[in-house]
Amino acid sequence: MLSIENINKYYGDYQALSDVSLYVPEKCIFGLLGPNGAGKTSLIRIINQITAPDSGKILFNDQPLERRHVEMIGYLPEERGLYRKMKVGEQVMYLAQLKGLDKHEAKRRINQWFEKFEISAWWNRKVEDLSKGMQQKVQFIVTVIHEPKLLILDEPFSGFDPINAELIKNEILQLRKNGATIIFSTHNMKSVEEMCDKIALINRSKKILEGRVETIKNKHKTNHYEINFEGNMISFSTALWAGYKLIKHEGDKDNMKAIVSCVENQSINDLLAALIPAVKIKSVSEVIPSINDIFIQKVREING
Amino acid sequence: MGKTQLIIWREYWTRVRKPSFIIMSILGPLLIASTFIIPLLIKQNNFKTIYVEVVDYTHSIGQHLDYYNSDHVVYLHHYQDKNHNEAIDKFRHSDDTVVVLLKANFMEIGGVDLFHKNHPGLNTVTKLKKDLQDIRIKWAVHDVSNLNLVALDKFLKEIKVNFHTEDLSLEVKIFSGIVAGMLMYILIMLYGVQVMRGIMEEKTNRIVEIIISSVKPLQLLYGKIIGVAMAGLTQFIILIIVMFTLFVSAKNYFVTATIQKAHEQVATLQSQGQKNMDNEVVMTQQVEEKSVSDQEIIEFLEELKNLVPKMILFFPLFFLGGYLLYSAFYAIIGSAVDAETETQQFALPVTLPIIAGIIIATNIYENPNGDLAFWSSLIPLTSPIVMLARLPFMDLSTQWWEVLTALILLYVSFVFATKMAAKIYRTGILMYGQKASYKTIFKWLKYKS
Repeated sequence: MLSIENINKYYGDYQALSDVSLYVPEKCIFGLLGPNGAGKTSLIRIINQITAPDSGKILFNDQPLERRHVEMIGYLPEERGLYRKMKVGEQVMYLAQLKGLDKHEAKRRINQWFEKFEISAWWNRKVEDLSKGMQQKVQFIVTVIHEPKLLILDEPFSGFDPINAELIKNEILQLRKNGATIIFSTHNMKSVEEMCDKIALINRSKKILEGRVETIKNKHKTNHYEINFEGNMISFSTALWAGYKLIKHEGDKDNMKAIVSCVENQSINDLLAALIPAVKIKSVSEVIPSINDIFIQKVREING
Repeated sequence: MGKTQLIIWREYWTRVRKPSFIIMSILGPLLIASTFIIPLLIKQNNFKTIYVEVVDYTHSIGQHLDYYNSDHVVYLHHYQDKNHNEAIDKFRHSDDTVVVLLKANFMEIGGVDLFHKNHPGLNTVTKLKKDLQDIRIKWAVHDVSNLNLVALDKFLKEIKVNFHTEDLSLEVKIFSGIVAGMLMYILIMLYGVQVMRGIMEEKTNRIVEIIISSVKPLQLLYGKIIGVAMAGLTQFIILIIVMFTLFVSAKNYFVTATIQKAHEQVATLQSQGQKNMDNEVVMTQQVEEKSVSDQEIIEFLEELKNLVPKMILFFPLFFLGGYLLYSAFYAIIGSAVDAETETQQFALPVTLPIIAGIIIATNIYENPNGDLAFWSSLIPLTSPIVMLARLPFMDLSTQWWEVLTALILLYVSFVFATKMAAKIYRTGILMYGQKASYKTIFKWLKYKS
């Protein structure tokens, strides 16, 4: 769907993006992650053709990205904005027509969306009279009104209460189902875990990680296991041979929890074989690192 | 330091150390001083010597006028009836010659006919009036053996100058020039600032990012500038219609009123026709004086009518050029700043030439064809305002090239300013939370698109 190849972008002497390449497959929800100032916004602006890269190229459906593609892209910027003094209906009409919809079609779709979000009564209200959450809904409609093939959402859930956040989340999933590809930039790791198929991590202008969420997680497994058991902590630790390491433990006699790392290449079976004689095991699970952990670990590794 | 002192110090220091504070402290007095200095400059600057040809039907005082010669005004020959046509013709061939015609009853009435090609400016006219008044009074005093208070009172009345050219009277020119200049000033400021605010609004509430993901930044910039310009022209058209309506109704009112008065006066005179001669003379004089003031208003309106086509033709042309030029500057400010309070330091240098323009424009009648008037009506930053104020004093059949040059310069500089503004704009609107300085703005100019 979208292929970004060796993008470089400078602002004066400052390099905002250095040699960034990404591939966003069709119908994917792609998480674009990175600390503040890493270059995410610069990349998003380049995809939106708000600014141009100094070098590198972007392919949209295997064709070089061109002006006409803007009508196939929907963009929800992190910092939301609407004309405060303009009426809601007029404003969405204006912005929809800028995206290439004709007046009639724009009106039809707006009515549809307004009904869906139960905001038809706001048509003649000024934006400044709406609450922040209401404005966010209008903004979301503006982003998707022209049924874009590619949606770029920068922190889509900020400013929404949990109910509306859920509403928007379902809309996003529905849009994907209908064939849209979504690039999703956020600091909310929970929503990344829930929604993203693929992620890329950008740090200090460089891409440092890209891949499917499951693959990345598996790759960053550290061979840690969480064991819940009943019994004595001393007998638990003595039962561990030299090949294991107790990372941490907590709880009391009947409800102990320990995290153990297999130092050599022992399997979970070996670990259990060692422990079964010593304590009563209640559950065992492999510790899979969260995207949050991977993010922090990766960024710390580089930034020191 | 107490907490209040701490607050006082912060409030004081954050203001005083701003560059705009220092700039304003220096420029403020300069600005105020310039309101006094510019009129003086206009008066003095390149003040050509005006040669006055005197045609003297009084056969007595013309020969004495060279007593009043100065650097600015030189009374040349005085002619008597024989060759007065030749004398009157002289002004047609020279920019700096005026012809003063003293009628036979000048001593009694004080009326003077003044012929000129280009208006000599208020300064010269004032001097002429002063000289002629002076000589009248001295003449009266000279004849002191025969003290006649009634006659002396007449001498003390002000000189009346009647202007005789294809030209209009001075008052009409001053009036229409200043009104047009003011209107231009207000419209340019009003609509230029609207462009700035519009851009700033889009930038500060971030909608700009949504819009320029649909259209090119320059489409947004040009669309805004042109849209606002059309609003300005629409307002101009409405203004013209309203003014025209006022003008026509005022004219009708005064014309009808005067005709009616004239009838009444004739009737009064006829009914009193039997009374003695002296009375009749006094009556006639009163009637004359009354109808003169009404007549003046009619003439004023009549002459205004002659001026209006020229003004209506050039006003939109200069407004559009001036607005486009200044809106480019205002666009730079709007895209560079992040908050209303920051606009001041950038708005000042843009506002200064406009203010200079309006100060020159309101004083231009002093010397409408002097150097300062000439150059400031050509330089694009001041030309829209100054040229409009100067236009009533200009003879377009010979000075058309000045207007044309001003327009060309104005539109060329608008193209350059807009190109520069566009470069700064497309970077500036995306720079949130960054404090712009002249240095950063200059850096944006060099960014690749």
